[in-house]
Amino acid sequence: MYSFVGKCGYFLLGLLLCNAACAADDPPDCSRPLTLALHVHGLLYSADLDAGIDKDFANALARRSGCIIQTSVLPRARIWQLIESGALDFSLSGIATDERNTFAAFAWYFSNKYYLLVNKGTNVQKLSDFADQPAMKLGAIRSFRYSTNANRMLDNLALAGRVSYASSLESLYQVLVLGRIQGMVIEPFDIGDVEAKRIKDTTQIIEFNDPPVPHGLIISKKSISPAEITKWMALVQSMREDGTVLRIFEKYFPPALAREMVVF
Amino acid sequence: MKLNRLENWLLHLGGAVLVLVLSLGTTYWLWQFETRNAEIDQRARTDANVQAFASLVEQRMRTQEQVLRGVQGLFSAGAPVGREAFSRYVEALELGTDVAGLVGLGWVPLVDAAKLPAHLVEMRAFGYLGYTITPEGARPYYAPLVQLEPALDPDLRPLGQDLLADAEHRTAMERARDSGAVTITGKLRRSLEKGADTRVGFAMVLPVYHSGAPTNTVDARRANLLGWVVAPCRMDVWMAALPSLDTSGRKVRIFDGIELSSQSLLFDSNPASLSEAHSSADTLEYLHVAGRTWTLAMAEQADSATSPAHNKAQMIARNGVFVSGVLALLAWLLLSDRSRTVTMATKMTTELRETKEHFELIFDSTPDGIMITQQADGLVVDINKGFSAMTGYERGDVVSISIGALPIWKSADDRRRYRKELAENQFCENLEVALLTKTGHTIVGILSAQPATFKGVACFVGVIRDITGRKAIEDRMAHMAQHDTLTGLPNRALFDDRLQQAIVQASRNGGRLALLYLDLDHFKPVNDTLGHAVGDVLLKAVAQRLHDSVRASDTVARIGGDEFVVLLPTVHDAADALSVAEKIRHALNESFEVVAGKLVHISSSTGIALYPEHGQDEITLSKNADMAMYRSKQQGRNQVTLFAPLESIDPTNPAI
Repeated sequence: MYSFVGKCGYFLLGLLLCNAACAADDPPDCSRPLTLALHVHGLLYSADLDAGIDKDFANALARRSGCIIQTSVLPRARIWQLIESGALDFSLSGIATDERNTFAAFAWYFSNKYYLLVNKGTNVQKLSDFADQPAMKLGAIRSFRYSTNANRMLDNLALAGRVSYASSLESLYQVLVLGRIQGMVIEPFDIGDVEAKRIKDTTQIIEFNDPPVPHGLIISKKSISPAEITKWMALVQSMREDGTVLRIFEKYFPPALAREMVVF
Repeated sequence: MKLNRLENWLLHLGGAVLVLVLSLGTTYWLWQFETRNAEIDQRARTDANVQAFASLVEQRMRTQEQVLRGVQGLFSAGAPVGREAFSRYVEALELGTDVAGLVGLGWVPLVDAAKLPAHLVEMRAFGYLGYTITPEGARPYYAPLVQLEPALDPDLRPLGQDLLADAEHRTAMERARDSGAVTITGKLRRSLEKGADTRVGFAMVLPVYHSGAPTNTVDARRANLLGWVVAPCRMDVWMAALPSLDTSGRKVRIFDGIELSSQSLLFDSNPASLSEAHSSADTLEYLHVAGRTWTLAMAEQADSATSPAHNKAQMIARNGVFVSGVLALLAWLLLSDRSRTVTMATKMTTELRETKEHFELIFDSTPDGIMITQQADGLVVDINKGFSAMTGYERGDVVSISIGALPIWKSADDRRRYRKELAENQFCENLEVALLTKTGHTIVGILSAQPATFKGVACFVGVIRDITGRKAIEDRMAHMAQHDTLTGLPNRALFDDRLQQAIVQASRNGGRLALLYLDLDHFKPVNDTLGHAVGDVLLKAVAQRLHDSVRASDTVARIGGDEFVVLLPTVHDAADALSVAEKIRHALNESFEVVAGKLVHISSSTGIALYPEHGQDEITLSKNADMAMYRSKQQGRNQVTLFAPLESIDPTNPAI
């Protein structure tokens, strides 16, 4: 009896595994060059180095799919416009919103938390301290969305005209040091920048009390058919399952943190 | 009272002030709300403008990058690119307004110090005899601008300028070399064109690597660098060519890097205005363009006081204050009006109550009986206490009963008269009626009635004044006027009246009447001896016997001290009269007990005159009866004499 149940279990597990594997075995349509845009964002991509997690992921995606994927570097806001219009097929490290779900599909491959990076001189100990001081401005990347509490804070401050936008984190770090903004939202792959840019001593990090937010491959619904989207999602899933994604993250993060981000 | 008025006035003023404060508060809240909305709208508009502007800049950079990548492609094609080919290529690009502001495309090869002499020879061989590297000096590498297309005046082209020797260029070029990506320099104060004006600009740089050489790592890129494609740009023209760029109504400035200073100012849409590097009204956006940060500062220049949103807020404030004033005034009017109304109502109520009390006082305290009856059916609607006291009937006994059916009428005749008066005249006045009380007593009343409307119903208000007492007095007075007070017999006046009537009656009927004059014999001695009181008693007794001796239709009257007359209105003949007279004479001959145990004897002398034989009128009849009575006196008293014509009387006869 137990032996029979066990066999059934194995069968089902096999089906599940096969589901991903079989999907991966059914490669996406590569009959045309596909476009993928990167955006400069800490360890995700550095234009100066022409390297980063997203760059590696894009390369792995190209290898795995066998498609020609032409990458370019664009501001994040521009990327979302192009994904919506269908002029761009893919981008990386995207998080979903209700609005984005209408024109984009997501194939998750990592998740992370968000943090508020504030100048120590501001005496901000908790999130509300920042919101309660009208003189304080928050720096944000145009079109970036974050976790629930971070989004709420960003939207409220934007309504009050207390948000300064930039198209790169680099600029925000500079104006943070300059004191033109007093805080900005960062992610784990920005920590390296914070340390490298020697602003670690003058800033502190406050956690948004939100669960990790999944990030994924952004697929334009306008340029990629639903059937193809399913294949690409299966492809990303297979990259997660065979450790490709984990290996990429381990290049940039300590193994434990990399696993925490990738295995969710 | 004055204090109350002051309190009321203060209360009304307080109410109006409260309304004013509330209304102004609401206005203030709306004004704040609208102002805030206007700010949010303004911010949203500015934000949208900034975003659109940033997008334009980014797209323009990308367009320009594509041009440079074209050149990069030319070099990557494999075959060496000669000056002629470069020139033709750029010419073929037909750089137009899409990339206006891009002065030209230049080629900057990386020249090893060891190869510099050969480079100089090569350039001079192209005809640039004075070609040299500027600035001078020995350096391991040079990056001289060797060609700038489209071909402008050769003298204006700074050929030979070592761009690596210039810090701004060097940074951008090294970053481009290491990343393989397009970069731009920082702000260039001087155009690459020799002698050009000092308009600011920047240069876009794209590395070119040896064809086919690996470029996947920084080291590989550094090792295989061939040179750079450089595109110097004039910022003012570059900006002017941005599609759909509309800076009207707003001040747009672009700074190189994040520093906001005149040194870093790349572009100013309105340089004539205040040149402060930065004002707090600016919305700042940090653009990452080709590996460099530009700060976009945008400020709305439209006078916020004239913006529609501001106007709306102002309108709300103005109208709100006005409406608040009007509302406060209305509130004051309403409050004071209400107070006035309440005062008036109170006064009216008081008056009404007083009137009611007054009415009730009159209605219930008057001794007159008041009875309200419906005109239509005569049903009693109400009675007052006076009516109850007068008749003994309570309200419950009479209400809703017809006045005609009430057992208060002693005679049906009175009831008829009353109804007739009302039916004919709609009123009646001073109708004397006899009424029966509940206990059966008769009262005499004067009844008056007037029409009136009571509770919307046409009624008669009847007032009854009880005159029973007065009537009795009047009757007694009338009796006294016509009767002898001592004997109670009719006096001369009444007798004359009756005689007159009897003559008329006899005359009409052709009948006969008799008039008897009677004088007591020997009455004076009784008076003188027994006193007047006894004389009076005797007279009263005589009167009673006279009265008892005649018919009810006959009249006995006392016309003097001891003189009486008797009227027999209907007699057949003289014998009738004589018979009655004799009967009287005999009656008076009987003794009278005037005092207990004391008998008085008197007699009487009587004269009779008959109508119409002895006179046609009362005077003649009276005179003749009197003469006949004198005859009886003359003939010895105690006898009856019928008047005989032609008989005369001797007035000197002592027997009279």
